Amino acid sequence: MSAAIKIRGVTVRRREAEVLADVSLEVAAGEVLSVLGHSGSGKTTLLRVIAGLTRPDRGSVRVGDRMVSLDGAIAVPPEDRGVAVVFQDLALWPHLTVNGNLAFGLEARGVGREEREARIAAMLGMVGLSGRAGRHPAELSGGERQRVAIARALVLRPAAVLLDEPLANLDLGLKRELLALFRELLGEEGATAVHVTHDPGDAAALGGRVAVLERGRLVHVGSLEELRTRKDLALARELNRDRSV
Amino acid sequence: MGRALVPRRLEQPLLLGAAGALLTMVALVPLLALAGEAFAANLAGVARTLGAARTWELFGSSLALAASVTVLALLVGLPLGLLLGRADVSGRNTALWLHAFPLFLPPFLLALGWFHVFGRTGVLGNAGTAAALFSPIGAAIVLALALAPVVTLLVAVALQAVDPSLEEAALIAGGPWRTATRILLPLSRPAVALGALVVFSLVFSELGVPMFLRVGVYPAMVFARLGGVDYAPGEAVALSLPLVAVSTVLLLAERRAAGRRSFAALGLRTREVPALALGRWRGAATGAAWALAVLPLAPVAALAWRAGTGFRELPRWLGASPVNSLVSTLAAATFTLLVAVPVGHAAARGLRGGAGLDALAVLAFLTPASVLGAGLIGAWNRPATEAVYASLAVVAVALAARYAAIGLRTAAVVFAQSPPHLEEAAAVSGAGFLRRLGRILIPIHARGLGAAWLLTALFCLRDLEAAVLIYPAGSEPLTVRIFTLEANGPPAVVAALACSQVALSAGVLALGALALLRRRA
Amino acid sequence: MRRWRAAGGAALAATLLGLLAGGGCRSKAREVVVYASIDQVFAEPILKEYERRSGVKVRAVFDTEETKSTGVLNRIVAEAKSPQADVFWSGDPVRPFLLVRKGLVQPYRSPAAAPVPAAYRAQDGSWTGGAARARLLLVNRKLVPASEMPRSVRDLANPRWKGEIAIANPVFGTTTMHVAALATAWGDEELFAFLRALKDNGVRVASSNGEVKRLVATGEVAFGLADTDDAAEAVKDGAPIEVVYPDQDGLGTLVMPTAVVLLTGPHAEEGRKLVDYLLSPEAEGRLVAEAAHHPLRPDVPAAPGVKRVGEFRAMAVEYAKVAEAMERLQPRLREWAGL
Repeated sequence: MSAAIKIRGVTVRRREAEVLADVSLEVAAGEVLSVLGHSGSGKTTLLRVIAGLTRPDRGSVRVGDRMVSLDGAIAVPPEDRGVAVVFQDLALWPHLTVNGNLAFGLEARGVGREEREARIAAMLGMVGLSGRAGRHPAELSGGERQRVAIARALVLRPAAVLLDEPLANLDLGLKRELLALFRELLGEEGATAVHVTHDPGDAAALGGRVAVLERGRLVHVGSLEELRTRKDLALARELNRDRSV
Repeated sequence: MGRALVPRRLEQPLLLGAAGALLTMVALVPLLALAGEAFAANLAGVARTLGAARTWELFGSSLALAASVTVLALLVGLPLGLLLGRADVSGRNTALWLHAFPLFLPPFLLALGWFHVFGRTGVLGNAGTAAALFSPIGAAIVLALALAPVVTLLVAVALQAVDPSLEEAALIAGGPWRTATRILLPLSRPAVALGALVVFSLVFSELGVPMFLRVGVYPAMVFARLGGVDYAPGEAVALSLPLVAVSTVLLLAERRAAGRRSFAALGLRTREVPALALGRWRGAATGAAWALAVLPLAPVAALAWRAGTGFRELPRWLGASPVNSLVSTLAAATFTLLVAVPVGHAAARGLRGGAGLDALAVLAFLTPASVLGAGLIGAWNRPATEAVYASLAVVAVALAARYAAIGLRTAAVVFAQSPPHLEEAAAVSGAGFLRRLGRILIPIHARGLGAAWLLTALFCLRDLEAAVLIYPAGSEPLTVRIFTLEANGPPAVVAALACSQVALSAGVLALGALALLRRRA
Repeated sequence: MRRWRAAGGAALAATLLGLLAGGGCRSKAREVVVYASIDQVFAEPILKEYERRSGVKVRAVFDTEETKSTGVLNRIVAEAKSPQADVFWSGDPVRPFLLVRKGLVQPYRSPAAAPVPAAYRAQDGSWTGGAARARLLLVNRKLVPASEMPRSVRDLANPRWKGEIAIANPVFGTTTMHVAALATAWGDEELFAFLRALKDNGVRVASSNGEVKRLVATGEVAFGLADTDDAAEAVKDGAPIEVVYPDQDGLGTLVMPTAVVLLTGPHAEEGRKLVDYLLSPEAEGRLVAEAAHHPLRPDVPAAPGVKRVGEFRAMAVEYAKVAEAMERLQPRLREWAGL
């Protein structure tokens, strides 16, 4: 399969420090890749570079067959990249209903009304929120809000969906349930996804390859099983200690 | 959508550019028009004035006045902000509103009110009080009471935004007194720093009150170059540079110290937090807080008392001036808001051009109004711009130039208060800047932007200095009319006109506050 | 819904623009612009009366107390590039000279000016005098016994009254003109010797003549210099004030006629008509009756308690020289006043 996202030699500096140092990574179309790392490892920055929200100082980013960022410039702004992001704080627009949150991006991309309504209805059905279309985010439970956020991303049928620790701070039961839902949804939609997390358990639950960032450097790309063998990595040692995964 | 007209990635820079061009037109062009004159000015005269001991003596007394007003305003505003912002004082919201109100009146009007209290023929006046009023100490107290609400409001609102859990933890560990002094006051430090600097800057460029109370100040020297017989705008510009320099240095210092959070206190947000229980001190504290809060209203009461029969003659003397005030204020505040949305957004998000335009607005705010007015005449009194210069539009331009900083700063804070994720989520959903602005940012921040508009409008409504030099013949705002009629006009009529100004400001404030509070529901 | 709101917004903006421009909607033929340094409280009713009678819209700019008679003057100078004002109604005949020199005056010999004494109008019609004010000493009767009444402006420097005298700031207003007139009579050095003596005598420098009146009326000072109208105002308010025409046995009292000046504004024809009206016995009569001015024309009766010009000794003044002195003295006056 061809690469949906291709990152070459991306470096991001903040003041003197390198937040990302010469990172190169490819994500195949339809693949779900988890980026693992401790806080401060640069994983969220990597996501923002792919989305076009942070400008890399060096390197290039390709989404599909388009060069979206090259040599420290943003060639294609976030609104034209065709990727979707689920933020850690979800960033649901408080003044719009669930329906409005889903419709916003479709309208922006010029999707006609009938198709829009059909896609929203189908998507809300898939995430089990059919009865909640008219509610505002403040009127939903925590789990329901997570579902709206993922539905808002997927309803756009993005070239890639970028998930920034969407399940952090949730209790275990809810987290399991949502992980299962994500996995099912991503599979069903055939979506390419980059999933950023500090929790190897989340990565395991979604399946797929893992990439590990340590202080801005990409130190491992491969399966979770391969990661367990990397005794030189702190994350691998933690993974091995943790029996639950 | 106008997608085909402009490539979407240019939407933000183009909109910011348009707003920047408008702001430049109203605020920078007049200053440039005068800068030219500054070079053509009699530089020998400027050099002699700047070298004279008296110049720096006045500069020193201006600094001293500003410093003592700042200290006094802090002495009133800090405890009052704490009591009205956080403690279980009875009726604290009402007291806070009453206390804040004089801030939206022209300071010279309050000085006139105090004159009716403590002048020799005033309600409580005798020779001693009159002498005290017409002295640097009197001027400092009048200005401190007029401007203390700046500190009170900033502190009160900042304290209401303190995380209640922090406070509860402190209460359990140390009781209310310690909580107030060790936790709450230090947490409100950015608000205190900002309040101090706003007060200092306003006093430092204040002309009306010191002139009325016969206290020599530096801005009066600048004004003498424009109001005296030898009209010398170039010299006035040169002389105003030290004023602008001091204010700019202070503002930069404040921004470094308090960071972007500082203006957050202006957001007019009210979140219910449990009040600090004062226990047996509650009665005394309530009394003290109310007394302090209502004190700045005393001059307003004195004006009403003095007006007496003057109200009967009001229709004859009021003319169209309230309408002129309202029309120019509405236009200026609306114009400012239009500019403030893209510029405030850019400033809050650190986008290119945002900081520069923000600085331009602040510069125009700090320039003495008489200098700005002379520049506006130079810039707009030409045949090509006759339609603007000969109409109320020129007053609106002057108000927008002088008070854009207020709307712009408030808008910047409003934008800075929300997480950037809301906007980024809209961007990655495929929305260009205009759509993000129209569908996400403006609706989410409607209340905050409304507050920015209201605040700008209230400052425009109280303006005298910017309008008085350039108002079109026959279309003067109410403040100007009060000031021109004050020359030998019957005191009762002048006081009645002043009361009309009070009513006008109160009306706009009440309507605005109602609209804003309704939106919250 | 959104569309309606947009339409509403557009309508509101249009209305606002209309209102803004309303003031500037210049029907060139039927309006006239006057800048006045006569107190608004007296000038406005007279202008309103003219408006009612002629049907011509009169648009006016007035001076504030602080900038008295230099504020609008400066505005005329600042607007020289594109003159706005058709008529300058000045509180004195000195300031118009500054405009003459800058070429901003349109000489006009009004037919209404004929009865005005020649000493109080320019031969070429660049200004014509109207009802006058004089510079008078306002004395608080309670503080100054009749035997010690001051008789000359020089009494302000008398150490007997140390700390109990007031004048308005000589940088602004009619006081500028007064000291300039004294300079033409005494010479500059003697004037500044006098001003220094005033300072040594603890003179209170008030922000305006009205303020001097207040200080004397309330007894904060014993006496001070102010204008006729201030004096009349104080007497009317029942203040314990004695009005003294200074220097009757010497230099004479300074008389300042109001002055009507035609400018180079856009409505020349309407401007001339307004000048004619402001010089009419009726307009002068109103200033005399309401603002306690001294009548200049023989055909206008004096108000009770106010003398007619000619009934007291007036200082002999060449107003052009006074105008020159005013400009010459300005920097030193500012120094004296500490501005």
